[in-house]
Amino acid sequence: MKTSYLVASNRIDLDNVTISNNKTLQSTYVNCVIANDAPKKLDFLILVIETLQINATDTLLLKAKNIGLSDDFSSRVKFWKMRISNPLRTSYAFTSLTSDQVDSLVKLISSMAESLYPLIRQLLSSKESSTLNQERWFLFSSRLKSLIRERMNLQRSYITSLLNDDTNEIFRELLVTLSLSCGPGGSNRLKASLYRQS
Amino acid sequence: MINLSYRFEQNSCSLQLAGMPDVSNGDSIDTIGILSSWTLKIIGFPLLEGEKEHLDNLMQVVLQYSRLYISGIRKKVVSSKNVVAIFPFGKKHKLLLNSTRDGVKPLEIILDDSEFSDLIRCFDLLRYDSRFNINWEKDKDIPFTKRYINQNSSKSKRNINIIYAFIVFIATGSLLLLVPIKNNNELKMNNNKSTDISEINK
Repeated sequence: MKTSYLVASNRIDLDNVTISNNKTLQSTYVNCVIANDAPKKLDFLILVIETLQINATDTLLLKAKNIGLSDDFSSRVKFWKMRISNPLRTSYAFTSLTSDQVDSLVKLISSMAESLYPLIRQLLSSKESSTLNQERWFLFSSRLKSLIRERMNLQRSYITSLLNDDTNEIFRELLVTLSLSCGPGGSNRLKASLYRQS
Repeated sequence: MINLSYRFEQNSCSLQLAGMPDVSNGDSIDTIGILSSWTLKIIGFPLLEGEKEHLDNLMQVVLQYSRLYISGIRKKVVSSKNVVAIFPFGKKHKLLLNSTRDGVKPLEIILDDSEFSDLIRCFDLLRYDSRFNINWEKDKDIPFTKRYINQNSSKSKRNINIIYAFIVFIATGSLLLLVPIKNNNELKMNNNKSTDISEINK
């Protein structure tokens, strides 16, 4: 007798596995410290999410509530206070993120990336018509650049290079990072990239 | 005997695995404990199939490559026995599969970013699926050391500009040292003043 089960791509019945994985993950990060560029990376990933979805902040806060994240996501101000730990922001607060905050942001980004995956995939695909792809990229990059101009310190060389880069290489890297952060596997992958072994 | 078959689908990729529960290991009837076959279909490329070891190699290499990519490292990853390799190919990713059979040419698969993400998502779904009681030889998502990142990161190469700037600074500074300074007048003035004081004392 041959039984066949089809697995839908968006299955989220992995609760038991997640609990056991969390235990192993906690032991993995014992001798690790948060990377210096972690706040920058997380803030830029959220910026890409905001580019892909209008009014993304509300969705992010709602999502955070749904997945049971901490008090840091209860209001826009608290959320903003976490984001200004990015040294490239105009309103940089000279603060650093705690490991709990990093973990929460990783979960949130991963969850949002999962729901935005079709949109991310469209931008990354090279199989569709080039004119349509160029049009999508123009819209995406111009919106992202306007958000960067609005919030980042324009006197920083990294920001200037981002705004002057017509190849969109860094934006593409951010999108690929977001696509690789989907789901439980992606969440662990993103988290590992934000820490360094001491 | 119950044969089970599960399929994981992501836009351009479809991974199907067949096997049976390992009763001696206490697997339930819907758990695959012994993998008998697998097939991977990526749209536009030939169907891939093989044994558990081949899937293990493929998963290990592709997941390690994605782990490096997300940390900003673009580097070739090769499996043990050189069966599977993946490396950056312009804006795309080239997957090289060497057949274990004699006389079969290596298969090249060039994936764009979207296909690569689809493949990763398929493997993620598989490795976190509780209906498989198989010990995948996968690397854990462990953070890299700072030294490893600095040595391999493509961004660290851009920091060479700082070294160039330092070299230019030293060179300009040493050139300025060669420029003569006219401070003879000031010395003479000082000498005159001292004689004046000695004269007063007399």
